[in-house]
Amino acid sequence: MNAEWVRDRLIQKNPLASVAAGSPWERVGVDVPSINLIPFEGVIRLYRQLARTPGEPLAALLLGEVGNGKSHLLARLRAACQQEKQAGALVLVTPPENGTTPFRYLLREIADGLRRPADEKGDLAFWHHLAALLIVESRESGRDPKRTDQEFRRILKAMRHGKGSPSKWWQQLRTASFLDALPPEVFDVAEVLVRWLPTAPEVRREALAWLRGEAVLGGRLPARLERSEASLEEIEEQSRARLIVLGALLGAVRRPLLICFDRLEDLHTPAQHAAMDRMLTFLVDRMDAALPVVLARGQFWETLRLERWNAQIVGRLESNRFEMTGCSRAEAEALVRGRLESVLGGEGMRSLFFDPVTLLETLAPGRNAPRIVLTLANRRLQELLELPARVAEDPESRLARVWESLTSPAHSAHRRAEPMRPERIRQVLRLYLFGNDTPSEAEEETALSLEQPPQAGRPARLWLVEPLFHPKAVIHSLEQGFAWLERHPGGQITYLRDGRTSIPAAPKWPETNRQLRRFQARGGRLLPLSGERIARWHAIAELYDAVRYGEVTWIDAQNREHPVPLAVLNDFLRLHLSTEQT
Amino acid sequence: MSQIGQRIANRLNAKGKLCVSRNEFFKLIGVVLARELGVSPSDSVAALNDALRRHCDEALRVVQGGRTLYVALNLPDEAFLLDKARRLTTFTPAQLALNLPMPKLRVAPALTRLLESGAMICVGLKADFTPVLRLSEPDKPTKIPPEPASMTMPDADDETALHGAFQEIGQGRNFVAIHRLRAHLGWERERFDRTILRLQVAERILLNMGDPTRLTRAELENAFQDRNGMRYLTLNWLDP
Repeated sequence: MNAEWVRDRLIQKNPLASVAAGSPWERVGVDVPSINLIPFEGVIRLYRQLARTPGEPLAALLLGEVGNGKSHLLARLRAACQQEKQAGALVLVTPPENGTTPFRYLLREIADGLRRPADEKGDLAFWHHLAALLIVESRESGRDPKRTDQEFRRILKAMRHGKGSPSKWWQQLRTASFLDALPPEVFDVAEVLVRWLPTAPEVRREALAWLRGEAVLGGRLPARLERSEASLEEIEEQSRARLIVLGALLGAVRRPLLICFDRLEDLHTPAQHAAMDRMLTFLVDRMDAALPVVLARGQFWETLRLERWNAQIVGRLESNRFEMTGCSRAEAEALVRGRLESVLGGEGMRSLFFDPVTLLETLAPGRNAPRIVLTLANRRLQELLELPARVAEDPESRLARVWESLTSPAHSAHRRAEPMRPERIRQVLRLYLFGNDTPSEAEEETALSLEQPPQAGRPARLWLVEPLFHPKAVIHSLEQGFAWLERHPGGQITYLRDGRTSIPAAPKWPETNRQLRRFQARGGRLLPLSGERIARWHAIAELYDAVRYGEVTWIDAQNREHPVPLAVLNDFLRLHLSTEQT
Repeated sequence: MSQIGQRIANRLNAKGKLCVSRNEFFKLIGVVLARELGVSPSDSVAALNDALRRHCDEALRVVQGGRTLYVALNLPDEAFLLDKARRLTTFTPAQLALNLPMPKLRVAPALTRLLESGAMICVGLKADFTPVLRLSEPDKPTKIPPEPASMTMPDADDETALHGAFQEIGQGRNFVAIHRLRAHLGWERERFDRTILRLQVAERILLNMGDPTRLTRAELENAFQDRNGMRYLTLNWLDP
């Protein structure tokens, strides 16, 4: 390896070029542990405290501005939770789009979060780990931790290979004394986790759907779990109760959840704020083993706490408030050195033809945000590499590259397995129809619908997105449609739903089927979305959010970094969405 | 600590120089100042860079370029270009860009500004179309921009006043918009910026990029922009 090799390598794979943070679910890249150490240790300390005393009411607040390393900190926290002795999980929750069903929303967000890999091996979800822990707990009575750990791993191995005996595990668990101290509803959740989750894929799918609050089709899980007659209010109440049960189970095995609320800037309406208030208060006061962590931009939080949120929850959060403080000169150097080493390796670093410190010569003294450090270091690196006048990457091609990565086979596989997120679908629909993502006032009141006024000979249209696979939720949506038709005679309605599950034919779900027939008789159109299309729309929504929050940047010919403008994204989306057939 | 920076700046002024290279630097500062700085001619460029950055405030700019290092007065980029142009009859942009105390990327924008202002003109093209430039009025002494106020001694009162404004506007909040601080204090732009820089060097504050979408154009303009062109919208006070 010589200087030429180093130069070529840095040109091919510039470790400083990507300054925007990745997803918290990706492997933690180059890490300088001392950067944002206080917030990191503060949250982990609370996590451990909760593992010891799961009923303790705790909450935390992480404040940092753009580029201060919030996403990186989340990735570190996620990895740290998974590596703790009492390994738990991190769940990311974005603000609810409507404020009317906070518990249903929260349950779904948490349940979907727990479908993610529980460790770096990546083959089993946290739900499986929880099931295995419950089985071990049912056997454990004063046995030594080493054996407990061995048993836990043995059960996971059996689950991984489809072996073991879920019925036998359930028999053991249902008589375990530790369950007696928990709420009676705990048995249903425990049974689904231990008896039905580790079985054939189609049963597992149903178990996961049940855990996120959907109705089950019947036949695979016991009929008593169906509960398809519950009203919407009852579903909300059930979701709340299920969260309490989940907390009790997590508490019993002493595995806390970090429930991180991000992107609070999306909170607009009083109903949304009220829903956040309710969710946070519930997590602190009622759900065991749950540590809500609110992440916010500093200035935005200051407004929020003074004007929008109630003093009690603000006080709770403020009592564990951590601010991100950027990095010192030494940390900046370590960050740049680490990034270079990640592509050059130790030997390559010895052949480096410049001192890495050189890269920071334009960095202001004092503390700086990590993103500033990387941006300036990258500028200087480009000079040192003496690149010929570079062809600037334009924002369009940068977007195309991000899109390619979001829809790469690795990402797509995970996305195709994800359940439909109705809010995301509506968001993309809004972009498709109106070219922006600004909800109208009317829209906020009517959950998951989208109205298109009449235009040049075309009648008014209403788009409904199925909020939940549950007979009452379907009926509620269709009823919204009928009410709208009363007001807009001759209007057209399209009902979008996850095409991977079918509404069971009569005589099951009789009222739903009756309403569906009525809907179709009035010209309503059912549009089942394929898994492929749902994955693609989820990716579009993700791209949109990343651009909106300034996380996608491009570098011009002068090596200056700019956020990709929303207008460019809109053009890009228009092109992509024009091929969507609706 | 900042006194060392000021003393080096004074010596540069006394010698009528805007900038010295590493070798000239030791002749300029002499043994006593070198000892105070904790540096010697046998130190590596990186070590020297490090020491200078630790001890010098915004009175100086320290730029490491290739194997050498430049210590210069903290003047606008154009000042260095004009200074060099004065010593050349005609020159190409590439010739002008050699051995300047600034990253190469900043030469083109500064040169463009000088061409736009008419301080420099293009007198022809070489065979390969490279432009040949000269000063528009070579006999007239080049007007170097006035010494920035940052050359004056730091004013601890300004720091205290800024902290007071921060507390008053913040009312217990620890993230305050810079444009509000600027408006509250009503200082000259340079005085405000200087104080911000000093507080950053002292690690008393952290400058944040913030969310530009929530600010008006005027508010953005009254935020803080550093010499790299980075714009900061909010700051928070760091615990001591």
